[in-house]
Amino acid sequence: MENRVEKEIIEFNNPRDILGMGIKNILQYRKTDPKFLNLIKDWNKTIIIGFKDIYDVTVIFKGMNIHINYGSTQDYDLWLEIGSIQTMTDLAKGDLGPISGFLTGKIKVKKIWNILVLLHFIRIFIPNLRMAGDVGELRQKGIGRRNEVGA
Amino acid sequence: MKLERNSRINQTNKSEIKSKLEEIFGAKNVTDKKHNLLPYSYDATECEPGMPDFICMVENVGQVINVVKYANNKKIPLVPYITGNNIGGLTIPQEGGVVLDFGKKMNQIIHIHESHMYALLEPGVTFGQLYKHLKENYPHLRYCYPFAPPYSGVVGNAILSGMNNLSCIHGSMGDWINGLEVVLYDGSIVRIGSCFMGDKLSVDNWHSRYPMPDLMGLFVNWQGATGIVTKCAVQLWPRKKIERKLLAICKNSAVTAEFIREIGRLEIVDDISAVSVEVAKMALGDPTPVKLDSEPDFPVILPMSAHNEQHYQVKVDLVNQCIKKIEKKYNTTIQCTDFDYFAACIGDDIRVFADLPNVITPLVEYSGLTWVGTYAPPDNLEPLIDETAQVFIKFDIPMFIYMKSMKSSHYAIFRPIIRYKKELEEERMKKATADILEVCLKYGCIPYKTPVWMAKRLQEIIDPNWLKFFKRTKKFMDPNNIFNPGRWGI
Repeated sequence: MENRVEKEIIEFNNPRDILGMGIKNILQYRKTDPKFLNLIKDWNKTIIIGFKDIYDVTVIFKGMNIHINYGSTQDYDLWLEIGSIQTMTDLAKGDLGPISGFLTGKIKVKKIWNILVLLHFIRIFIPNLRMAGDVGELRQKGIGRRNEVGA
Repeated sequence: MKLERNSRINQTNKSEIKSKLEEIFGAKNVTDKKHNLLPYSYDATECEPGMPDFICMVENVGQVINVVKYANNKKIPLVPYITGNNIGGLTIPQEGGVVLDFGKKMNQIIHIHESHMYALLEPGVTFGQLYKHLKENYPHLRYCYPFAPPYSGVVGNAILSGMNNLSCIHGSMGDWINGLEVVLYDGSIVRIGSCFMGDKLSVDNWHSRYPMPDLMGLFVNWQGATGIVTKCAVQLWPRKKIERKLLAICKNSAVTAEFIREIGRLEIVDDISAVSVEVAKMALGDPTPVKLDSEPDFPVILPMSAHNEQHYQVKVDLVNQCIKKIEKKYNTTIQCTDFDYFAACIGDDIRVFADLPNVITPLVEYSGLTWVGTYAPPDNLEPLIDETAQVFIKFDIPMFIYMKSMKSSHYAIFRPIIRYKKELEEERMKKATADILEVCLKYGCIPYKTPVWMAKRLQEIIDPNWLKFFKRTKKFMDPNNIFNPGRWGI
């Protein structure tokens, strides 16, 4: 009898807001990476990602499910404010790191005493953001664009 | 679907006409079979369908001359057709007749002149074809691309003054026509522009529209109602070393309108394309998007080109300075960042609006598509947005508005778009577009690629002397009304 290996997959909801769609896209960059799956698995936390002067997005990690909601909630484990969409792209490009982001005030944190939660979330989010940055760099060079000749 | 409008062709003479058409085009290029005619009888819009009597695949100018002479003699309508992707019912025969399909076989890129920077094209050349040809053979030159599929025709868009991704800096495509070759009603062939010097003197003489008396206006924006264009020379532009895009996000109509105007006036961006946030969400996979309270109203894409990094950075700094002025004036924030990196974060599908030519997926997902595409006074963008939004709410349609600055904000494009299920929602969408048209007319907008029903409405309010002159000109250019009759409702 064959041993079937059950492939673990992350289940996402379908956010209806634009930034929520973006967060989902970012989180999906490593959705098949076993290391990423181990970070997510059973890490049951609620993280708010706030985009300054735009709005907040709540990301609920539960088991192998990630639920992304428009707006914030009172009951959260960590609230992270990204100063602007420029800050997000700087993080993606690698022009800004999370530490320098905090030190320069471009990234703000509430409940910073939950340092383990913060560090864990950084391990989830930042490498994915960097992967997005790699894709952005390729697109800027004209690689993988939708109108690529011969594509 | 009632298709058989009153065809001008005497049905008892059809076999004689078919024989003549086969003599001109070759039997394999002529059809009158209903299943072949059907796709040419309608398009994605709400415009009334109309069946042609014949379809002919055109291969060369000689065939056009012969068919025009014959049609003029017999008073048979001729409808030029390239790919039928216009949103205006422009290739739907109003009075039956012969559809001349240029898209399949008369589609050569005749000549690219590198130093004079123009492309001489047959009518069937598509954007995708031209893009590929330039990228592979003339990478230092570029043309423009609209929010239209790569299989749309270049010449059709040019002679209908289409807007595109270089519109802020260079205006509409109609402005970039250097020359036309046209077949007139009597079968004579005329060259408009510097090409009037004639082939014997020089091959490469399609360099300029001016300075002779400008007859180009007799054919641009006439929807094929004054003659049949068989060649068109379009200006190309130097491709700069750096081509990148910024993305800005604007809240509310006032800020968005000001942003479009003021950035346009800087004369440093190639294009300004603003879409309502619902449209961005459509591209990202939400078929029935709703704008949520705190979401920005309009993402705006700013393609820019520069000679080097310093040049590009100067432009970015100028954009940021302009943004700061607008932020101060309206006590708001406008966030701006690099589009390529932002798109990689938000979702690659958003690139449909940037990587032109491209199939703009939100535009093709439904069986029906219509819009009220207008040239608009830039000062009126704010009330246009606000009042059109009310129409979208009234009819429970996701807001789909597209706006551009044209030629450094001399004028703007305001284009509310509706996609719908043709069989189920057409009557309701007709009402919605009629309401939107009223808003647009109220604020001085003029529809382009005007469908017949819009033209008729427009005629009720425009200068009657213009209308008289327009009809006289049409009569002069086409005494037997063979060229796409019924266009503009006349």
